[in-house]
Amino acid sequence: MKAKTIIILLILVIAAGIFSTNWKKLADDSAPISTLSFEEVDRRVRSRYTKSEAERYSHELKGTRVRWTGVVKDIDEMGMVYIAVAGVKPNVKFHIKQDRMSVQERGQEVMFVGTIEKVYIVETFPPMPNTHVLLNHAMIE
Amino acid sequence: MTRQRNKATIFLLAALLVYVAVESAVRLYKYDLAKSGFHNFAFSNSDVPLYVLDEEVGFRYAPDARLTWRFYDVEDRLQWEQGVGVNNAGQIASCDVSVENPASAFRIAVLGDSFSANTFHSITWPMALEDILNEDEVLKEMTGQPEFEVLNFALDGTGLDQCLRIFESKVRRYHPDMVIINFTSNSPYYKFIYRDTIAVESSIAKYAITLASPTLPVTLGNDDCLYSKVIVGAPAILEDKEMIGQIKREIHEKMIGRLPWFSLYPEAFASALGGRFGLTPRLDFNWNRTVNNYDTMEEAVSNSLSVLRELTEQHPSVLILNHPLVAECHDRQPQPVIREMIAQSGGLEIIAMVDAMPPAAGKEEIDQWYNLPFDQHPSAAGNALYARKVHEKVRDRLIKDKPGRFRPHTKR
Repeated sequence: MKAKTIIILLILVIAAGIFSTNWKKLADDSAPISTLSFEEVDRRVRSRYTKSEAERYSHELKGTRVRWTGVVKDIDEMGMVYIAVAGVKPNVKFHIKQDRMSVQERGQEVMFVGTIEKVYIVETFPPMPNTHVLLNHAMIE
Repeated sequence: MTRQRNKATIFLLAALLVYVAVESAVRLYKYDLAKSGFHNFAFSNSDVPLYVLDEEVGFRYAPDARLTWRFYDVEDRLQWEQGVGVNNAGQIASCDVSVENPASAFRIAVLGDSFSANTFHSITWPMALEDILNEDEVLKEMTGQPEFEVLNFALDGTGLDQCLRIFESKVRRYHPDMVIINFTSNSPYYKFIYRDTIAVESSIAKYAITLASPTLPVTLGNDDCLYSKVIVGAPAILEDKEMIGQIKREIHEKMIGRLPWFSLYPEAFASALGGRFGLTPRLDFNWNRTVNNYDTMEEAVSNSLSVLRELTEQHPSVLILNHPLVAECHDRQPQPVIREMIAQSGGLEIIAMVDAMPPAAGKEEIDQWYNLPFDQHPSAAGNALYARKVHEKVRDRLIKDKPGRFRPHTKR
């Protein structure tokens, strides 16, 4: 009896976990798409070029759903797609499902939607700060 | 009593074993995460080293080096190629310099970053400025000296902290008549850095990499050192795409390998605490870590102003110029950090050169002053334009310094 109760409780906890994760995902996917452009994000990051400011701004933008256009620059083994939204170097990245990977080819211009997970700075060489964005729940349209 | 002691010992041993198991699992997981986190990256290449360590000023360009600087994109395709010449004094310049001034030239020393030590073009703005000044007979007459010599002490990726050290240990002995501090709105954030080119032990190819670090020694063993994404080696190694891929993976693994994977530090505990209570995880590999910047704009402003004040106290004629980034030209105003510096400058004159750029220029014209879309450093046209604008400022400064000697309408 005791063992049964524990098993039921465990199942309930796992089910609740799965449900809340999916619910969050659904919420993320169905969030309204903001008009925020990559250029606006870039401008803001560059205007105060410090790690702490970038982190603060990243926190502020986390969860914002965006629709942007860019050129596919690379797709790695883990299914991470690297897109150049401004300039020729990749500055936005996100995971896509394996079955979508074959569809996308490097050099192709794509429109995509995704939820901002993180905004951060990457320095190219000679040192020049560049704004990068990591998206979650992204899909290519 | 003995039984209780035994029980306690067993309990402690069991707890220790559990912690060791958890610690090992966390480390293995982090190692795997770091290793699988590799992704292709854009890089630069030169056939011989450009950067050499100089403990006094951080680094310098290898004296007398003649090299080709190449930029590759993430797919290892050549994007840009430029010959770079370094003079006898380790400056990006076409002419050698001597500490003595045999021609009795009017000497202008330039301090700055990659906008002044520009490796993307054969003519930097300080070189172009020297030519313009030497064609200005009025200015020559005004200074009473037969020619102008512009000495370029700029080092890419350096901030104002570094300028002060360069001035004190390199510039002063050349006895410049004027010092130009030319900085971008990124510069105030940079703290002092060292840089060096380090040979890599490799079975793949003979190559070296450039490291940047806030601390010495500049070696792969120092965790403060970051990889600048420069591969120094013969161009032949870059013709083999598979080999480049192997080299990049090897560099990535070497950067991971130097983390303290076998230290006694409680990594699992630090990770569980999320970096609180002074326990910071040390095995979170971050490929994109930036070298060493001020953490807030306020710190950057305060430090930069104190450095500029010190420099102006050490030399009677200092021209402080803010070289605009492309975004500042589009916005027609400097970034907040520069506006703040100007607002707090007191007696210092900081000239936002964005105000000197052609006011009627549209976005397309402005973009041509920079290497867009490939890069945001000034283009050849941008260097030439900027040199003309700096010439005007030098002229204004000389008029201000020596008002009685200026005869603007003199014709020769």
